[in-house]
Amino acid sequence: MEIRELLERVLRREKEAWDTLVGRFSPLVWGVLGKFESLSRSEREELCQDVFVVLLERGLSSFRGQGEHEFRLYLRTIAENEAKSLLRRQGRKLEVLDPFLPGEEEEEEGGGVFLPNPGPGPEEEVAGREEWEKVRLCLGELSLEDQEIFWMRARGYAYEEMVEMLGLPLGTLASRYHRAREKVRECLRRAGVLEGKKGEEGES
Amino acid sequence: MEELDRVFLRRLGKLRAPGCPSTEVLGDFVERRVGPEEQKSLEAHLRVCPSCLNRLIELRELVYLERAGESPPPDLVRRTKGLLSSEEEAGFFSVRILRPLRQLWEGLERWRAPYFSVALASAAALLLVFVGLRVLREGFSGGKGGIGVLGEFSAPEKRLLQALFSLSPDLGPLYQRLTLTLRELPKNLLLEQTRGASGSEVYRRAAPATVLILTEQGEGSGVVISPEGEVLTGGHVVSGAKELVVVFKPESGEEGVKGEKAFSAILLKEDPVADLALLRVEDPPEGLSFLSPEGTTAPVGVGQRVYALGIEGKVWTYAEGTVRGVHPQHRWVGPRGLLHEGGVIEVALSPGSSGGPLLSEGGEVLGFIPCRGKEDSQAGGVEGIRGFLRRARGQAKARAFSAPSSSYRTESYGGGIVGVYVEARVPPPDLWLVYEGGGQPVYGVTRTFSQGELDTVIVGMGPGGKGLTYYFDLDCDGGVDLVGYRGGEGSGIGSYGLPEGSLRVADLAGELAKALKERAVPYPRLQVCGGL
Repeated sequence: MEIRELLERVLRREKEAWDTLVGRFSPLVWGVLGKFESLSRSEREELCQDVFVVLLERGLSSFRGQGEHEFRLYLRTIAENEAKSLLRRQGRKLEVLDPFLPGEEEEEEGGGVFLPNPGPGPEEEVAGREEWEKVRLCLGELSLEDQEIFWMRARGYAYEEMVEMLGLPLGTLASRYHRAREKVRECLRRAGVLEGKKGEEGES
Repeated sequence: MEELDRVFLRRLGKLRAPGCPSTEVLGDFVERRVGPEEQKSLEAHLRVCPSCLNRLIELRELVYLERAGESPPPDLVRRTKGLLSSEEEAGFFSVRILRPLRQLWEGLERWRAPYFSVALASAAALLLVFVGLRVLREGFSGGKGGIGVLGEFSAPEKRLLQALFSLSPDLGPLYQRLTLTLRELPKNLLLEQTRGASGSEVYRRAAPATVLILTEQGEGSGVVISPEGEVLTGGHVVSGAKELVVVFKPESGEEGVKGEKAFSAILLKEDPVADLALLRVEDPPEGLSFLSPEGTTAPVGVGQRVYALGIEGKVWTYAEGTVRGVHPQHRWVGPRGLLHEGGVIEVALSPGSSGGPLLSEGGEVLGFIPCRGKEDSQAGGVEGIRGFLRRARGQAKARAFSAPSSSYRTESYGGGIVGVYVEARVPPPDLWLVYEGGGQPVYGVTRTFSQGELDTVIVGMGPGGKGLTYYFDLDCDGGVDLVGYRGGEGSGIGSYGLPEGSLRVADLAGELAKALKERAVPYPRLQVCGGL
């Protein structure tokens, strides 16, 4: 069943449709909540239920998307917000494993170069943009898969998860990741964004 | 090696190429539902658009979680489905009431004085809701709903319900102990006078920073080390505790002691090897007294005069003593029979001191005594403490060590191995194996491997008793991801392979334990690297 139809049915309070929705998407919500390491098991359970309460109360009617993927993102946002609210209410540390979320600025116009510091003068900004453009094009020399491997690992995914999601064996993932990371560094260095340092630590 | 820190990654990840596809198109790409032409053009875009590539990764993960991720408990799923019941909306309705209530309760929990005074103070506010719930309860007692429905809720919700219906929270052992403590604190002030402690300048400055720590299992003492309310204490004091309460010493001349002296605290880090823990007091008061181990310049030498503060029973005590020895790399058996290691200062102290800071004549922090002292006490030296604090104040715990971070993990691995302590830095991780068995404590530490971010490593005997085999747990989840074989003497890791079948680090630890016991792996092979 298409997601829009499923949601319409739930909005009409059809029990079967609701059961389907819960059955299908509760693993997703459960998984998203699992990323918040400071949550106890019972908190995770509570929050999981809360997400569906939110959906019933207002979430479904607020959802404006058309497709499954958008719905999944929507669910993820709800789950993350519920978890963050709980942690904030209790004054607990918000341990975020992957604070790096480029998806938020999807709708932004005009270039996506994010300057972490307060803006420099216009000339410097242009220079910054040029360098990063070089980096972006340099990265394109890597295969798509190598880049995916790089980003997933850089963002904290476990190798085990990557094996499942990418369907590649672990040894392959590990070595491709390291090669990709070297390449990324090289791109950054070539563009003059990163200083190079000699020597490596560790014994073989 | 340079570090690819978050700042770079963020910046890199926001780079875009023109013509980014919509979420749904990207999703179709993930599920391989696009035609060959479109696939090619999307691939070409994704290769030069880190922003879209990251969106792709996120979408893929969500699909994965939905289809192949860990299943939530079936009970939870059943309850959640029950939110929309075809006969009545009983379940949903009561959850709707309980949820904001629970959130209110959680907000109240942050207050300093725990449950008992909060419950009383908010009785008026809750009364209205209480009435509402009672109506709800009675209203449903006839049919399918009623207490049966309410009884289906999770433990915290049940607790909340219990609290509301009886208007007195479940006074667990921790809160009973707390009540008792607060009652006995005034006694402390009297004793302070009789033991002549309050006269000493060192005591006067340090006592307000020495705190009593209560857990549901027991109590201990600690030191406030920063104005933000960080408290240093022994690892064994807080290990396994679910709730922590910190109690400050009352001022002289206070008439009665109220709840304002007690604060709840959270555990930030525990170091089971050095037997240290760092807590943070929630909502600490203004103008908090503290003793910082950072500023110490005084050297510690044998024969030096030192002062110790402690808390015995509920009484703040003070003792003088002399340094008997300074041991940078010392091992000792802790109060729970576990083996610890760290830099220690041996002190001969007059009886009565337990826990608390060790101070020089000038009032500088020389160390911290985590355990109850007998005649000779042992203080963790400032160097070790500083090292622990550096690690403890580091970044958030990372699930996979791909970013600069420090992390601790301790488990009982069976086979005589009591803990695995992992400190991960990019690049080199270190591993400590704490092994106890047959009365022969052994530390095994393996150094770094330049092949990359290899996290937990267990070393064991290779097949046929030849060479050493290294088992790598790359993502620290207890499963072995990679196996490395080391050839003869002195050579590095010759080859890597994948483990056959699923191996658990815990099982291997047992094998290693056995090998160590039989001395199949000679001790000199296992070297302790660096310090903590």
